[in-house]
Amino acid sequence: MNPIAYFLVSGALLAIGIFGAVARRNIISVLMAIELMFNAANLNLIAANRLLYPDTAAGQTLAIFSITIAAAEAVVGLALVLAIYRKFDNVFVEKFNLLKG
Amino acid sequence: MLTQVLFCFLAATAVASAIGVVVVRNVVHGALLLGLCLTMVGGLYGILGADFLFGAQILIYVGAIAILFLFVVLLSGRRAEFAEKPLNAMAPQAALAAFLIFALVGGILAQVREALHSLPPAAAATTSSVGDLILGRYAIAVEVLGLILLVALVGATLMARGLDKERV
Repeated sequence: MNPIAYFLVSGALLAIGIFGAVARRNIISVLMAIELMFNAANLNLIAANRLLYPDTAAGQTLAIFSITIAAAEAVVGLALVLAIYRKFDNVFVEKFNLLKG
Repeated sequence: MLTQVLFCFLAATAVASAIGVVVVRNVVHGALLLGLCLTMVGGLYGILGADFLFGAQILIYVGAIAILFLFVVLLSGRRAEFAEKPLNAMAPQAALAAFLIFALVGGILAQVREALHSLPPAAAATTSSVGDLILGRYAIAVEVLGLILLVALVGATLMARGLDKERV
């Protein structure tokens, strides 16, 4: 299998994630798009590990670290969503204008 | 041959369900599609030979994070919000930016196409070498990672509970 295909899939997931993070109105969907970008990065790490250093697993170990950080990020982000929902009674990002002058 | 068929199926499903995550109107469907997309990416890890990460992806991403998204969707928002439009006014510019980024990645890959013609054969099983690295060379980093997870757990509990006294 040509390794370029893996990097192309990773790039497609990254682009879709960027689109979702910028264009979605629902804050939970924005967090989901960020998870998509995390997965694109992990796929890239693992494909590069297999392509460049197939006899070690350092890239996979780095991907494990990345997955753990992503889990912590998702937990904190979703807790923030719940706190913001309690304050604004809304999940649409354009309604969150607490810092607007 | 089998790998190619499997790769085409996994990659097509992953990209299609990722597009579904960012355009679908109902957020519950979005969370379920996210679970599908993460499963397919896990399958890609599997055919890359990363067997431990395949299991970790299914356990952590699909089993924990996607389900957590479902819980939060069900805890917040109302049914009427599913009828509103899902994208904001910046959607065309965001689509253009996403396409340009994908074109950039594709252009860079086209430049290095000759150097990357075939994958080297995978190591037999990577779980033991990943375990050696985690508990050997990167042991201190793993400890710090555990501390980060603990802080995230405590902070998330505190924020989700609310700081006001009557809501305990």
